[in-house]
Amino acid sequence: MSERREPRSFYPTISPTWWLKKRSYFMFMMRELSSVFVAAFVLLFMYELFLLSKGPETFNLFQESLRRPLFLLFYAIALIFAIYHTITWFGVLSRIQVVRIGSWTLPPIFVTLSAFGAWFAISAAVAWYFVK
Amino acid sequence: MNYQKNKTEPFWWGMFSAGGVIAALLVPVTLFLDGLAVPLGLMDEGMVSYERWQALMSVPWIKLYLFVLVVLPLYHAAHRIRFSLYELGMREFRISMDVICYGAAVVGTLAVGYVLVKVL
Repeated sequence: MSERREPRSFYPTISPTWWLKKRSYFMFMMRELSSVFVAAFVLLFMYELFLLSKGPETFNLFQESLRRPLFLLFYAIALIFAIYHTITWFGVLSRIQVVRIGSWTLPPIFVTLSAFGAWFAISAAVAWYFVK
Repeated sequence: MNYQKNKTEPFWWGMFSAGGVIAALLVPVTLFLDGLAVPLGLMDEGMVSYERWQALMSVPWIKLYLFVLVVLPLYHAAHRIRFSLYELGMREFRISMDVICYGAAVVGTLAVGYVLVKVL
């Protein structure tokens, strides 16, 4: 009777730069990276609001520093990533959320389009509430 | 990685998904208003002043909006970072990657909740 040996785990070797080899791989990684920019923005935003507790001087000083070129560059890049996330998210949505009415299936493009419609409406409502 | 053994997996996927929706719908407009509208000259500086934000903070549902806006994308990012690290060939550390990524999101949730409820 031979003793059974545990099989060794198999790890495929992946080159850490595989995602640079093809455009679609690269865009996939950029989509993943978008979440980092989004998280960085919400945390920066939260920190900005936290400074309200430190009084007007500190808060306004930080507000001014947020208008320095380096921060503006960050905001611009983060906005591009955020919008890229929105576009890809709504694209996937139409594949996850299939709308059937009786035996008829709504073409997926309409699911994506209505998500974009909701996005514009919500964005407009938030902006309107903020500036009114 | 044994997904069947981990009963909490569906919860993290759900949070990832909810965070993705918030990141898609609310983050672009908030980012633009907070960071770019004033420098681009589209909005008066007074709209993001200390007094303005203090006034907004006294509205309870603004705080709820901020909580949802800040917290859910943290779970979204935790999930994506976790899987991206695997995809880049990273293996488990001695501390599980789940614990590091989702733990950071949970700590963030507590911190944001504390700031919104107790500090502001």
